[in-house]
Amino acid sequence: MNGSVDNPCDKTKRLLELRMDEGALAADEMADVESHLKSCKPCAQWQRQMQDIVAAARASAQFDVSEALTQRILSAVEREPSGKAASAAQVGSMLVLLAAGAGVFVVDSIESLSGLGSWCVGLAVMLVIQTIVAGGQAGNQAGG
Amino acid sequence: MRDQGVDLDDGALVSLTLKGEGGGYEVLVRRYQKLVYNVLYEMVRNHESAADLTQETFLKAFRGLSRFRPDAPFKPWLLRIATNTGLNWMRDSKREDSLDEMLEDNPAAEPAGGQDVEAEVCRRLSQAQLSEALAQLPARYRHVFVLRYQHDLPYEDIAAIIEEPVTTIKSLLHRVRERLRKSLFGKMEL
Repeated sequence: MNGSVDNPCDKTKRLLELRMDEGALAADEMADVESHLKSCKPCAQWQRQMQDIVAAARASAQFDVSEALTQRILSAVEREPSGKAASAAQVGSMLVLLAAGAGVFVVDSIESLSGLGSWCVGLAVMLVIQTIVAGGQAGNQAGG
Repeated sequence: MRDQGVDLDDGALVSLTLKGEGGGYEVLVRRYQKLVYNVLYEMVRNHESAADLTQETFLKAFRGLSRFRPDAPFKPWLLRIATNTGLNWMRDSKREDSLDEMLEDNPAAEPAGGQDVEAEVCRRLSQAQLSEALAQLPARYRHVFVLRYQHDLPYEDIAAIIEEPVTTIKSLLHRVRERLRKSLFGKMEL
């Protein structure tokens, strides 16, 4: 397997671990393991102990969930706005913000020559907002 | 709606939920609430907190459903949310309750099943020992062990939940089994 030279006990344990991971061993490996276990009491005991641990874990009782908790979860979910509604609200808020920002800069540029600078600032702000929104959408697509 | 949906697979139920069919999510909740609750209980070891965190997990999943890829398996995705929710709780609370309150204090949390009384007593004793030994392990070790052996999840799913490679999961399980063996049987060998 890993090319190292094991003593028989280490090799047996390694193969038994492999069997726990993979579910089965090759026929010749299994024969080696069984042969060793017949003659090595500590390894046989190690195997029994491992089997006991896994068996106890597999037999573990699971707690039932009460209907009250189910209803609590479902009620909480019902109170949540749907994903589509939330997205529409976010887009709407963004459009309102952009419109308000554009309005402020239009008025400002009419009032003075320095309004040109305000336009530049406004443009930069909108670019930042666009970058944030695009980043958020990319994050959403990558998530899950 | 719920009765209609029980035969649908997870991906179809997610699609229904995203279309605004609330019954689709109810089927998902009923399908996975027991698994999520038990996984969280093993992390936090407190029934009240496990219930709160189960609710939080399903809420977070619902909020994030639009980001879920329909072709991806739902169960590992949901359990990853549960895992992170549990870890955050542990980080924030910095406490781990004992098992003392387990069955006596919460009859509603009585484990399912139960056949022959004598066999049940033996089984419960053995599980109590395992549970106690598990409680001594770091949360990460315990969590991986529980996912693998109590919930029978494949390595690939556990890797997706823990966000570690499969080789790391196998290595962790190897260490957990050995630590449990020493903890449970070490004294007998003396």
